[in-house]
Amino acid sequence: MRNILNNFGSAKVWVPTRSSEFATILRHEKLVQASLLLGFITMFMVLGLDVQYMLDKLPLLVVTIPLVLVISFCATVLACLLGLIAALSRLSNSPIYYVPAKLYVSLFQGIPLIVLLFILYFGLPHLNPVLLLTPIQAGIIGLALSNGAFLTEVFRSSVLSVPEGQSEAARAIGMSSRQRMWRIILPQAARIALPPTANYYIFILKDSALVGFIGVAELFSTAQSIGQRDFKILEMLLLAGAVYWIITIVLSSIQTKLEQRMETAYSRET
Amino acid sequence: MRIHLLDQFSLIVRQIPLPVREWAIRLILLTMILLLLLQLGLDVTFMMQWTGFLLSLTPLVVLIALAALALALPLAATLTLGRLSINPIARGSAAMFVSIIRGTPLIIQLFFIFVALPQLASVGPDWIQKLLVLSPTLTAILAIGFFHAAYISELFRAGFLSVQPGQWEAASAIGMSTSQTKRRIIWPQAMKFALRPTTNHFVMMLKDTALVGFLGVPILFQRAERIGSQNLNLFETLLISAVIYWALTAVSLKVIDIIDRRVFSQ
Repeated sequence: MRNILNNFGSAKVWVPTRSSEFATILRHEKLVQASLLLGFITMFMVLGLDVQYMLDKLPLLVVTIPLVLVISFCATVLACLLGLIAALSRLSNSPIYYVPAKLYVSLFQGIPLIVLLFILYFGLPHLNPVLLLTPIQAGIIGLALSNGAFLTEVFRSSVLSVPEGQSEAARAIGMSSRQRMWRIILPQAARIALPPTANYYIFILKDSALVGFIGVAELFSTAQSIGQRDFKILEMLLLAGAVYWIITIVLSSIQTKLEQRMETAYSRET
Repeated sequence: MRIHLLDQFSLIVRQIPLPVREWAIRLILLTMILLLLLQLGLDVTFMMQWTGFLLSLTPLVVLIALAALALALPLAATLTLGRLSINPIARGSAAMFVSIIRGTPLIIQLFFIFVALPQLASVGPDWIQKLLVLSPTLTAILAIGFFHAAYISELFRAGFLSVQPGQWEAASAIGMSTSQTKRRIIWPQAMKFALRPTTNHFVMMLKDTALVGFLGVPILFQRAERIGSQNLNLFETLLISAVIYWALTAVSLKVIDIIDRRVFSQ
């Protein structure tokens, strides 16, 4: 892969550059990124951005990070449950099982998350006062429902990617179809499904910014309300964006580590 | 000899062709949901009254999504070339752009562009102000286009990298230049790999247009919310908008499927 990468944009078509040269390119790339970041910051300072104000308000945003992480974690767990149930029924041969699963996927892939959240929090109590949810409950349920539909496809494809021979071997030693699924197929599918599921945790974390609109005091809505109060909307938006960016970078580096660890046991080269 | 009623029933059911059975189950499920909602107090006459008006707002949703797609595709191609070049400045800035866009929520980017552009323009001369102070709709198109361009560039990049090295060698063997190889050999193959996931992004753009309402664009969701809260029938109007969005995405997925089959059947 490195070899192909080296060749794009080079003057000659197929001259594999040495890996040391490639490392220099990567180092320069990092330098360029750092200088770009510095350039952005100086540009905004020249434009009259109140940096002292941003530093003062940073702790107020940092305290909301645990709430964001917890909401998205609960939503991910619930979405995994929904996705697993829907994926298993989607894989069945009987239309009584797979049609509802298909309907669920198409319905919740099609409805925008913000519409779903508004229906759950504002709409349901309008319909019937019994259906009143707290903002956090509505947020978690909404995030789980819409991302569960996407996870269904992830789980389904990872179950299908387990080699056929595994199931046949299990049948040969006399396992029932339920035993085959739970003891042979699902443990192997889980390994394949883990990295994309971790990716969905990051997606859900970013989607959780929308939960602010139904009254949860999470990162984005806190930033926006502080900014509107002090007429410093741009500062607070930049700050909130930076916090989200850092969280995402940290989480995706953890995810990459996880992926590598899952791979090492199965790759033959190492 | 006893005849099991259930067995006989299932034998009869199995005579019916599969698609008919599937549609029957789908209809039964949807009817059950509808009955449940009616039991909870759904105001159908109110819904009938406003469906026509909300339906008339759907072209704007499709237009914004199409405009964003038209912006996103060339931008994504440029980003891909930047990320795969050996020029560190192109690499660094493209990677930075993609990382920032992918690392922050769309709603923050929307508000940021909406607030930051006029503020940037206020320092510059007149023509910059004319250029940078955009209508909310244009801002929305810009933000959604940028957001999805970053994701689509990842797909294009994966497509580029999935092309076998032998293709480069073969192209050079028949005397093609680098740009010729890219244009005639590599891009078409990369596109074939990336077409399906890219078209899926169009569906996501359709859904993301719902967020544009917060900038004051009279989009479907925003109108539905306003009408609903004025008439104390918020659930009904939101339900209509949800169904319209569902229909839009389902139809466009079907169309994508057909295009996909046409392209790949050759």
